[in-house]
Amino acid sequence: MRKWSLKTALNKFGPLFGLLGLSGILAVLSPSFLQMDNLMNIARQSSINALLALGMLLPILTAGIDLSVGSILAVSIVVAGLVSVTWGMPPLIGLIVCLAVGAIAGLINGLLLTKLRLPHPFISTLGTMNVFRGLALILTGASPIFGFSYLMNYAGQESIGLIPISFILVLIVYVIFHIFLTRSSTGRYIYAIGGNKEAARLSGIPVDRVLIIVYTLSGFMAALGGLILIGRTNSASPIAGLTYELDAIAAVIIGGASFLGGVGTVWGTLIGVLIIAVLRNGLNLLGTTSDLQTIVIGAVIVLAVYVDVLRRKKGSK
Amino acid sequence: MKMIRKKILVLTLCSVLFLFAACNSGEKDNTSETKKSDESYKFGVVLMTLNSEYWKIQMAGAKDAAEELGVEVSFLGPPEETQFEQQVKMVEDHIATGADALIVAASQPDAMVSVLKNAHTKKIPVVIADADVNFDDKVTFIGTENYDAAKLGGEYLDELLNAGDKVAIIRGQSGSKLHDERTKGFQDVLKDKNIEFIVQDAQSDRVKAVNIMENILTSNPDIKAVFATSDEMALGAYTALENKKATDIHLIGFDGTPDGLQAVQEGKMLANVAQNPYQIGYQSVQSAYKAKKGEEVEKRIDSGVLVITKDNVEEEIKKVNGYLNNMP
Repeated sequence: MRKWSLKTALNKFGPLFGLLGLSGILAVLSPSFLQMDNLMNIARQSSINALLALGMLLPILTAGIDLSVGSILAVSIVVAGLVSVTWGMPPLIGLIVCLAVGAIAGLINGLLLTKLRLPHPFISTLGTMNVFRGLALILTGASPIFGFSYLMNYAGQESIGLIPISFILVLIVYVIFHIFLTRSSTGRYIYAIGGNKEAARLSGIPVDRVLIIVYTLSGFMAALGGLILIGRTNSASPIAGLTYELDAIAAVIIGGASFLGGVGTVWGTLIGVLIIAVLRNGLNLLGTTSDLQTIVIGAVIVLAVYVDVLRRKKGSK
Repeated sequence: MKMIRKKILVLTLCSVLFLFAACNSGEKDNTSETKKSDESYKFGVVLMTLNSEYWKIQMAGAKDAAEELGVEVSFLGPPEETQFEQQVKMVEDHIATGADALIVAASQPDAMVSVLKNAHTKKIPVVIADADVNFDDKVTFIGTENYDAAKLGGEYLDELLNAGDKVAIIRGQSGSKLHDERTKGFQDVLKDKNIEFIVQDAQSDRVKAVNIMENILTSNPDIKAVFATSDEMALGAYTALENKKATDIHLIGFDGTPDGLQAVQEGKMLANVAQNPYQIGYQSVQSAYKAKKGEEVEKRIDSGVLVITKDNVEEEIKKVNGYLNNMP
């Protein structure tokens, strides 16, 4: 009985142990790592990827993917910049427009996938990744917009006491998504579609509608991440978010989700996000070059997937 | 089943430990060469990237100055120049490790302002290198006057062009301020000639520049000259000129990297507007040191440029090789 529970614990909390082990090693190697300032740095530095990865979790749960999140982030913040800075509209409208643009961009991804019947979201979102990026560049004439008002900068810049608002926002959104995925029927449909799309369709699940919701939410989360980026950099650059989709995918996979769909949790994703953020931060503290960081993160991804493969092999026996 | 689980755990721990051991030893190599003094300052440097020759020369300059002054420098930079948000994180991380001063070359200057303000409230002096940041409390800005430098390149071409000629400009990332300035400086100096400019963005990438140059030659075979806003792109453009047997088109590069200088030497490039990254790095560390000591530092230090042609290229190559050989 005891053995069984240890195994389940490892299975369930593997990524968490990884995060704790990693933090332990870093705490030994760098005296600054565990300082309050630095822990808050990690919270702040991880928040954009946390939001993008949470959005990314949904398509991956349905055995899909969303490669366009980095570009959606860019186009959302750029439009928000045009509205609230260039055209001088109230910041609240800029904020709403930012999130709306993200959701609409995601909706387009969902419609391309379900209505045009493009074979795999890898292709449709690869296409929109380029389209949205190009739009962001054209809309701004390729120059960054800066000079945002306090409200637009609020989420990315301010903190309550020591705790960054951005991280509080992350926790709130994660709780909402956890409830959505585990308690709502749409949430359960998402897992079912990832498990077996045809079976889900035959059992009467409105697959297309669920997929549209999934990609819309992913776009919305990218825009929410964009709001944090505005605050962190006080600017909206059309080249913002380049390659962010890769970090988001990495976080979801490291957090224990499966590319084959149907497997993955909100909290696992958060751990995955933190593992990447801790790695980057720790390696910076140690003064290692970014090339090495890239190698380490790559190795961790491979390792996480390998663990998943072993788990699967064991499960099928 | 238990065996597998154990194996995974051991494997994970081993590889993580191994990777960190590797990182840590690498870090020691970096810092062991700098001499310690009684009050050894530690300066945190964040560059646009660490993996091109231009930035390596800048690091060489910073290192030399650090050795002379007996301070420690730690370099960070993202893998790609476009990853400006990672630069913000790197500045935060330098602050967390207790850097005594910061030296920052920001690829998106506006994005850097708020984190630099944080550094200032923590009383950490900030030296801006290479690309200016609109941040009032900086110690100084050390860098090339890009607009003026590009003008020099344009002037050099002035007598070789006739009114109404077509000239291609291959530039770095749209929206990047320094490439904007270089493009504009070059265009402005040739204003009177009524030149038709074909401007394309190759994102400072050599391979992209090859493709773009080939496309330009296909649609505009009658161009007379090419100006690239960085050497990487100039070298890509030359490959395209060679492929299309159009090497009689004048090519002007920008940066003065070793490859770029060699291209001038071999007659592939007519001229190269060489920046002085070594001076930028060197003076950055010196200015940070002066600021720590409470000495006066000029608010703007021009690191200077030199137009390299066949006449002075040998000399310049010797100098640059000297810098790079000093790098570990």
